[in-house]
Amino acid sequence: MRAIHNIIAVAKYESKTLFRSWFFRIFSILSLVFVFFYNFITQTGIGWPNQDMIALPSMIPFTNLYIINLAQAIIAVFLASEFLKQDKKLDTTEVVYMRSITNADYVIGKTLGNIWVFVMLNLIALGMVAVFNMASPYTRFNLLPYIYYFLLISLPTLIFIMGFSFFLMSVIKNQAVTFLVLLGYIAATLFYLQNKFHYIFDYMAFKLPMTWSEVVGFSSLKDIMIHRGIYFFLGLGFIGLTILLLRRLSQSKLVKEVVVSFSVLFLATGILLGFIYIRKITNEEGHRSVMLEINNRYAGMKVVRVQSYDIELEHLGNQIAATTTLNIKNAEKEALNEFVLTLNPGLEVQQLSGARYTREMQLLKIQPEKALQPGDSLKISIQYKGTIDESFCYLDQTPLQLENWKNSPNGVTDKKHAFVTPEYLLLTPENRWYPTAGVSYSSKGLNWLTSQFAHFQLKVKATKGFTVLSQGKKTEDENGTTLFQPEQPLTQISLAIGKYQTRSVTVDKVTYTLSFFDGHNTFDQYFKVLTDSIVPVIRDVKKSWEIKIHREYPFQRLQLIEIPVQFCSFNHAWSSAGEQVQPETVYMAEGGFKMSGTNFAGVKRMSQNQNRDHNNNETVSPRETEAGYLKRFINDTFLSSKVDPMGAFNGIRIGGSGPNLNTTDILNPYFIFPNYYNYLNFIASPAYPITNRVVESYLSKSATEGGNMFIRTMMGLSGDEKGNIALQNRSFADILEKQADSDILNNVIQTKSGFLFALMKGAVGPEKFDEFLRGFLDDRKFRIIQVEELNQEMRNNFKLDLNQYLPQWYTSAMLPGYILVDTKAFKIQKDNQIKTVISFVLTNTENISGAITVTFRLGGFGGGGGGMRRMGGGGGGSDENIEKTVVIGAKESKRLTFLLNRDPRMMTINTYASHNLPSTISQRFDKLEIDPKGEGSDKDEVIPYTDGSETSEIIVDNEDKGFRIVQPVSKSFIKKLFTSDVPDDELKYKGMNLWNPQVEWTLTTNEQFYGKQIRSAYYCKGGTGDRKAIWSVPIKEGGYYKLYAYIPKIRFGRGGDNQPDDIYEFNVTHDDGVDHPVVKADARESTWIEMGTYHFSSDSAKIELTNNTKSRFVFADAVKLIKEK
Amino acid sequence: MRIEIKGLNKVYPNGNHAIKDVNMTIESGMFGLLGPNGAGKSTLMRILVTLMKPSSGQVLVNGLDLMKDRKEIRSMLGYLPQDFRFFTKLKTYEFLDYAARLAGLTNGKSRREIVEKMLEEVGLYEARNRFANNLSGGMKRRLGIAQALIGDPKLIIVDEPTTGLDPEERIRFRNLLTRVSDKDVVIILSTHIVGDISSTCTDMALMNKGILSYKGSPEHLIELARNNVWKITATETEYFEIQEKYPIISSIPSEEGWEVQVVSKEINGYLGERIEPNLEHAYVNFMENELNQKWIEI
Repeated sequence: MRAIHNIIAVAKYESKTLFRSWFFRIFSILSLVFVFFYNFITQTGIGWPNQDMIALPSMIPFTNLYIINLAQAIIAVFLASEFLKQDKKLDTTEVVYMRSITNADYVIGKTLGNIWVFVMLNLIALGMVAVFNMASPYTRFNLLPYIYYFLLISLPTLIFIMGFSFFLMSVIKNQAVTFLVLLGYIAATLFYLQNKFHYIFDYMAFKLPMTWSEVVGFSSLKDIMIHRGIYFFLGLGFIGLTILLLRRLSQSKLVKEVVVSFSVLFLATGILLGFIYIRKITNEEGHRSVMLEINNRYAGMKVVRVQSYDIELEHLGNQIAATTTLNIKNAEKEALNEFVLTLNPGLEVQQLSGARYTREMQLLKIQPEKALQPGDSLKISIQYKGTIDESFCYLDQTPLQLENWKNSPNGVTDKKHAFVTPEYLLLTPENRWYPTAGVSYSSKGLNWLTSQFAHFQLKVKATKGFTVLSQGKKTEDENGTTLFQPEQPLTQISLAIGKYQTRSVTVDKVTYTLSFFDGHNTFDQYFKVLTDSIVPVIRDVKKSWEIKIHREYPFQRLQLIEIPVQFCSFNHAWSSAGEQVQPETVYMAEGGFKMSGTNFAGVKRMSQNQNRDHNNNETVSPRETEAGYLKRFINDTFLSSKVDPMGAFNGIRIGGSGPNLNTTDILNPYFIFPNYYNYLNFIASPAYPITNRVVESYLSKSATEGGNMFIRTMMGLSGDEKGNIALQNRSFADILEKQADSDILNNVIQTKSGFLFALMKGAVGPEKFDEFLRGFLDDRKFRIIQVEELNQEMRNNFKLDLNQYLPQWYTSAMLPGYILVDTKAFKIQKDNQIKTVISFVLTNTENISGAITVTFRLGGFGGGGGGMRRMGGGGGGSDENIEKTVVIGAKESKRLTFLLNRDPRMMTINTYASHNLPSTISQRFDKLEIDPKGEGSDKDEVIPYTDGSETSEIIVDNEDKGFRIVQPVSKSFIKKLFTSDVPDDELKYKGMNLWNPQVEWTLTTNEQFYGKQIRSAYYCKGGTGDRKAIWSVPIKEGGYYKLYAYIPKIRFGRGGDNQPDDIYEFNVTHDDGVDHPVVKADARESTWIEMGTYHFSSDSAKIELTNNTKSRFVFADAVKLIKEK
Repeated sequence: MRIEIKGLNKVYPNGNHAIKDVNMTIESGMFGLLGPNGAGKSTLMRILVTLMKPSSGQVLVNGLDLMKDRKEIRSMLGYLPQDFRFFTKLKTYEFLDYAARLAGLTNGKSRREIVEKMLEEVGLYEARNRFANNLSGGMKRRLGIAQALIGDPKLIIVDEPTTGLDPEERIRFRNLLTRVSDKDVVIILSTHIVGDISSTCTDMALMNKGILSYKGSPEHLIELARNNVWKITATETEYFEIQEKYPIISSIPSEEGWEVQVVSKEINGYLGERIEPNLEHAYVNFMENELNQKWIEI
């Protein structure tokens, strides 16, 4: 009892002392003020609504504690290192030390006193946050996450950092050094260690996935408790060590022994928890390796065809019990003695009738009683029970890919692939919750890849009061069993069981349902009048979309189902369809978390601001406004293939993309396209298993052209370019086999798909080919199509044989390369109309045929990309585009002429897989003049080979041998130490950030740069002349030369030409000395700027460009010399 | 109450032998510990208040071993260190309450009464809500003694308590200690201000270079100086000579030149008379004549 009294006494006065210190007061006030304004802005109607917080109320306390935790961890370090420093110096402490108090009482009291003050600060801050939350017009209040996050984030962090600080101070005995060591430790965990070893070093729970769902709570509470327990117990252990190291004579041997025991126990517990944590991960990795190895062993086995599934499933809290009856057919040409089915290894088979079987983790090796002859069928029934082993999912994801994912904005949300809990159930095909034929994935090529269309019937028994959702027509019987019978054969089926509310509307024979969790209908406030006129809006959007993609929605229903926020899927290389999009179904993250299309509050605020800013006198009715919200939601959520990368930077976490990274195309997991292709058609090709994916890529790309050029300008390489770079000197087959980076793989597939279809469209004619392909697929829905069937139809219709394209396209590492010269654009009068003629010379410099697509954009700016999307616009596009595909032979030049009925604003040439970087070349056309003598018509004529170069010109580009850069080594040791490995650093060409240009010379690409095929340049921030670019131009014949520099004009910002005049300072070394010409860039365009005439007679001329300029940035591109006659 | 010190030694890690084989017994009452700077007084104090371990030897406090029974001994300790500062963020009342709690006064109500009474006794009641850092020098010392006395300790150690205090404060301080010493407590007063000992202590020890040089009553020390203390009337020239020859206790200018008090067995050739020694004389006499140490005038 005396001990408790002593501890309380020390704690009370320690906390008083701390609370009254100016340092702490200033920190507290600043923190509370920051929290106040942060919440004022994000949670009240006055500020800007934060989408994450609206979608998931638990993000409110989480985000705020995140901020407070970060600040207080640093402050706690400083204050804790005061401990003992004060105690050492002042004799005042002696009057405490001579008292009858144990060292343990004293240190514990000091610790508690410090912690208590920070706890109070946290509680006050959280209280303030809660008040804002409760008053927020955007979202609801939930008390539980406040408690959970406080206990799981703040407390263990405080205990650990204090204990560790005390301990270090006791050992180092110098406050300044201790402070530096601790700050270094914090910096290391924040910037370098981050998520290494699955966040084990993340003592502040900075990156640890801890999203709390209102439906399932924490998805992995056990892992979180273990992780936080590590630091909690280590903290206690360090406090114990501090007691033992305290320089005061102890007065109780017993207490000392107890402290020793507990210190050892706590430290051991912390370390043990760390081992358990790591072991779980390594076990999982090992587990996955074993499963992959098993898959690889059986990947070559013949696969049976499942014609129908009859599944009966009962949800038993944390388990499921199911019986699946499969109707199997041998569609091979040989008899089968054995075949494999895949079933999630967490589901234990209790009985299998109709054949013998053995189980090897995820595989069921089925041996029919007698060999299954070609064409024969077999019915087997499998009874199983258990839960989903999620480590089985996504075996194609390598550890590196998972590491990269952790750094992404989605990485902090968590990684659940299934839910089997009493409160909720979600099973998707990736889980293999019912047996499927063949293996799920093999790392040895793609020959295992298959898809099957089967008839499904699903019967589900769930807890009363829960809604069951799956594909197909739904009926419920009096026993509470729900039956699902899809009308068409499907490739897969999924299941969700939860407490849902459902609303539906039928539009033109398709029933649209929205199923959301109880209470998750904050969107209602934005749709008060539209409910009775929603049908025409949906019809209108659907129609526009389907006109664009030339396909019709094939199902009778579309379900939008809300699922817990922690659900995560990864993209497979062989399909862009994620688990969120299933036949007839789209699973949406809880509350619309990280879905920009659901940010109704933000959109409403934006439109209010726009109306206010433009003094908009137009009256928009509430109905029209709400229709706009709905259209935007549909377009952004379901009709865009990629997520706007600007939207991806929504969170506040440190780390992730920086200015040197190239943009990563983030695929939209809710893109509905799979319901227009993947779940209808499958093209099977044993020789080229990637064929279906290539067709899918082609069809989906044509559905969503464009892209945010603004971002591309800022962030550097586009997806196509990355694909192009990967293809330099590597064949498609090689990349498919070895490429681990799924982003690059997707881009390669996209590039190669575009290229293949361009070749075919060029041979047949684009419209004709597209029409043929669409018709072919429409006639063969819900079944597998052998590629030979497609080839036969192509031969019949166009006398075109895929086999003349596919082998080289698949196995050759060669790529075409294009040069574009002599572009002419003018108007003519023809047939009593004014028409526009665009003509240019295209040369293929390589020994392989190529194909390009020329797109003329007629009409205004914007459309599919280029800046902020206007309300109501989006995926449908509003420009008229004319597309022409041209095939060009190896080492061939052509003069291409196009006759257009209207002026094009821009011409874009897509070179697909080629040596050209960027892979698209754009050219704008300003006001065109009428040429009274001009004439033109659509022409594609082969001309003598030319690469457009003038023999009298000597050009040295930054890609040539004669160019080099000179700059100081700038990366500091500290920076090297803490810069995490960024995969994009491996790419030769980096992003260009014009708001915050790189200090060092950085190689980047842009259409505005000079280059025959690779349009690249070096750029850096304007400086003081410490950096140079030097061209050494070879001179064969001495004489006077006119010197030019190519100065690119890069537009940035939506305002157009609003950048300051670019001034370039050169040093030219010539026969008469050194001149310093100053060059001003052309205001309108990238072009050659003359620098004067000089006499050169040595073997090379030296031209230097320095970064000594007041301009924001400097480009070093190319120089040209033309000999004077 | 009794303290027995047997064969006590303390050698610091740098080799400094601060206390050499000290043996003494201290009974209840005021005990003075006198000696020059560096004599080892503070080291002895810190050992007695369990802030430091001796290198060898034993200390028994009422039969309790200082090394083994630290808990019990600490519960009867009160200590005012030499360089005493404050928790700058605590008020006078709070600081004393903190000390009272640590002294074992667990009951809130009675502790409040005791703290208030102590504040009145040391004359700090009016300043109880002032931050301890804002007290004057004398008030700080009073607070220091208050926290040393709170909880009725049986062994009170005060190290240089009156340094820097004005005469009035010094007298108040001595009176306070004297009142406490009437009870069965040991108060060890370590000082180099002789007047503090002469006015309060019944027993004393004299330490020099770590060695216990004298243990006994102040009166006996004074007795040792009898016949060795002179008052000399000197001229200007003689004064300078006397300065070189004898330890001077005081020198007052007079009409004839200087009136000088010196300690010496004899004053050959100078006009002077023997005077009644006081403790200061006795201290100097002891240092000079008994220990053959040159007394350094402070």
